[in-house]
Amino acid sequence: MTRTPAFLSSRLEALSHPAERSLRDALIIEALGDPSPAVRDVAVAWAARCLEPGELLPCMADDADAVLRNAALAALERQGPYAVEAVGRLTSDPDPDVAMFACQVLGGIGSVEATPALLVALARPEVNLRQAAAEAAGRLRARDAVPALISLMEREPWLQLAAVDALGAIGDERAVEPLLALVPGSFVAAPALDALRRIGSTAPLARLLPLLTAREHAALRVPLIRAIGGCLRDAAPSAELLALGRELEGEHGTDSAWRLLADRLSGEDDDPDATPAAPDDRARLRGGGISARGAGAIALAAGVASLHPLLIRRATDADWAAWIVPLARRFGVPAGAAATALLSHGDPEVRAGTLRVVPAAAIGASRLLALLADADEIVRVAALDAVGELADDATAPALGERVGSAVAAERAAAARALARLSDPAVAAELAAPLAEGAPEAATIAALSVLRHHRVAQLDDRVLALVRAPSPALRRAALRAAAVIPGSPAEVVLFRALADRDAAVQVEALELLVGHGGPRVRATLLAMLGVADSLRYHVIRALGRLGAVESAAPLETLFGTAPLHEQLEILTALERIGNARSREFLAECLTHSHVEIRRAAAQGLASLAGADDMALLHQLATSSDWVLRSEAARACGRLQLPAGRPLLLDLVRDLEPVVARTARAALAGSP
Amino acid sequence: MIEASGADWKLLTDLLQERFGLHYAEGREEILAARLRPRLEALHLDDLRAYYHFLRAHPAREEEFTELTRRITNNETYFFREPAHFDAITGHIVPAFGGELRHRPLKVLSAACSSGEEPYSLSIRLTDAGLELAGLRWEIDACDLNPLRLETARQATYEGLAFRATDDATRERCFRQVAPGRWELRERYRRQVKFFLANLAAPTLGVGWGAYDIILCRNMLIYFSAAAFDRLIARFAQLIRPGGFLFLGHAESLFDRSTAFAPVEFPHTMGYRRLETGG
Repeated sequence: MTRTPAFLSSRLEALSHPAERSLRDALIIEALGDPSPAVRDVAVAWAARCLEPGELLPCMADDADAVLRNAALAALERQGPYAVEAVGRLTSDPDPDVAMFACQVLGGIGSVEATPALLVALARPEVNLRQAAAEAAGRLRARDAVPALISLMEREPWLQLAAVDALGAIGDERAVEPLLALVPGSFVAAPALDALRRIGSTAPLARLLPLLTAREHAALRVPLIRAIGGCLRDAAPSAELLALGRELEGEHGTDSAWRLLADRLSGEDDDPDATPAAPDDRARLRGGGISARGAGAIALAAGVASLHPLLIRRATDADWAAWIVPLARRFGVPAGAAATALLSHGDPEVRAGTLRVVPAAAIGASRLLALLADADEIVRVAALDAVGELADDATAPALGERVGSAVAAERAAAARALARLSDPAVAAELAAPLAEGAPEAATIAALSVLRHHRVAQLDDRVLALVRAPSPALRRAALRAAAVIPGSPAEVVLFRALADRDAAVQVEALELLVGHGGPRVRATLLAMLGVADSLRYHVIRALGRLGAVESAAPLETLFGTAPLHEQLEILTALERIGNARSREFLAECLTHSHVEIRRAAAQGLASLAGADDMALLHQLATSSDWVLRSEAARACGRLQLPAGRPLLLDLVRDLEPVVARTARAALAGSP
Repeated sequence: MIEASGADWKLLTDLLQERFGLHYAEGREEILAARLRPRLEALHLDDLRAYYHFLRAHPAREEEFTELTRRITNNETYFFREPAHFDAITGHIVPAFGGELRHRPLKVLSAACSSGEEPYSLSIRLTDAGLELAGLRWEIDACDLNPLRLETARQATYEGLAFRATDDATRERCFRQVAPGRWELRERYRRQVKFFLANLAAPTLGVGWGAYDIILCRNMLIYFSAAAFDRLIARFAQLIRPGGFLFLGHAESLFDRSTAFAPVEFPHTMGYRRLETGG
């Protein structure tokens, strides 16, 4: 008989009747040892779902069949918090291999509730077991395990390595001194440096800085750069840092620390960092890898001016700028003549980056205005943003001129900058672009200024432009009109609901929602009677406004509305969230269309309260995974003890998304 | 990052798989979110579930699917990518077809051709191999899911990275400079290539069975789910005449996946020959 994954799934599905349970369980256990990985994957999912941890534990001791044991371990890990108690007991099993596998499973589950069980294993004499326990403690980020892990650092090398890595993952400052003791002389110096980086304390800096330029420790330079970068995260300027800077500037040879920093900063990618050490590092990879960030932090903190062009040119990228700018400003570099020199650098990216990094006030208005004529667009845009930072009315004429620029990015930057000036300055500069016959792009840019900075004396012109022939112009004018208080603005927004251009209609609707108020709600309610393409947006608007009075009309409309409007109605009722809406959503759980049932479940999961456990149970036992996922989400939101049994069932769901949602909910449940 | 639950991502990626066969592995949500964010903004939608509802139920969903393909399909390609495949075609396959091609054109399908670099590369190589001088003809059909990329392909004007594997002499000979850094392919290499819009994952592909001697489908199947991969290979088995060849990207393989094709080794690469039976 061929046993494909599909065949196995259907066979197991067919054996779901309670009377056939023993047959099903035997089939699952047998399939866990199947030679085909695809079949084992299906069996693991079913084992996690159907078998109790106690039924899987015997497989862990099965030395004869590693395939079966590994599959059983995977199933236990997939059971997550449901298996923690049973597996945790095994860390004191007389068989050290069983205890070791238990630690591995607990590490994979990652529930901090397993910490006491890991402490038992850490205290046992068997080296392999302690190593597995240390690794698991790191994965759990178990702070209670820190003292035990520190004591392991005096033991065998591989225990040291596991403990060092775990301490880095946990990130507890108690580990700083013991880790520093391993640098630079031990064979785990590099992992210890990585752990110090992840802890991110400033305490090790004084000991680490001199090592960077020491030739005898050249092999440790990359981990040192990374570690120092981590430790500089919250550091203040210091004499030691400046001394390091002088030393780095003194030696630019091929084998120097300066050269390595330059390489890290100029590399297009950061190969050694391609695989992040931990999940929390992953997000930090945008805007440079760990080494590049470390090198950049050293270049700035130690004031290594010769490296600044390499780093500062990166500040033209938003992800890099997000960490370079605050760091540079904290350490006050570049400044004075060095900053002036960078503003004249041959590379436009360096000039633009400097404009992002150096405070505008330090550069000064006259220098910034001169840079508005730079040959490169990227520099002109950065200069406009810097001029905006000054918020100085004297710069208004220059900004007003750029509102009419042919370059879109310049127009937008000039508009941003103008919006920060005083009313008279803005009014004076926008008169020309708002005048009859001005180029459309300039008028739209001027209107974008007024969207963020209303100038009363220009209100009439804005309201007139709402009737402009161009839809793009009308949309821009509507956005500016929306910030004008009082009824004239409301009237133009209402009128725009009947605009001949659908995009203008939707824009007006969105702006009216922002306005709010009973008149808006009454108008939108009346519009429900018109079956046009705008009604879909009207329904959503009523939901966003939380218009309770629209609940009954929306329910009435539901019966005759097309599917896309029905789904919007359910979302709107979820937002309105009164008892009547909740009842209607519950009725929709039996609707014939699957997407209606799902949208109703989503609404109910958002609205369910402590009295709704029966409803959540109904969702949790649905054959549709989306409904089960909504049940898990609701239990996670409510965090009630009564929801825990449901979550412990859902955490073993065959559908991984449901299991993950339940696991996340359990991580926060009482 | 778009705010969305795991369930929302699964609903959307399942829909993309159902519609296009494209498989978005977990962990790629951020990439997908960056591509979808402008669409949510344009449609004034608040979250991913609303977008999913739009794609499932809105009357304008077909237009939105078209818009979506422009954003989610991978368009990374360049001239003379994996050149060993072209060497195999000109140096081994065409000579092996021999006299047969005296009576009919060589028929090639470039599946998922993106902006046209692949079919045009083949056209250049077939021309350079002297097929025209030998009285042989060829026709290259090229399809893609993304209408914007097809428009680029039809315009046949390229710049920068498209030439990363093209030497200057070939570029000077086969293209004409139309602006600084922009090059247009000469007409003689364009006329045998016909482009058409097609979804490789759709039930019908709009071309006849046994129509092709060669299909190139390179670096596309890595984005397909296992089921969509198998469906498409089965479709290719219908589209290629017995004895014809299929070329996949270097990271893609039919090992243990199809009984309709047999692997064939060529210098520095391999292809798959359509068997007389099987599939």
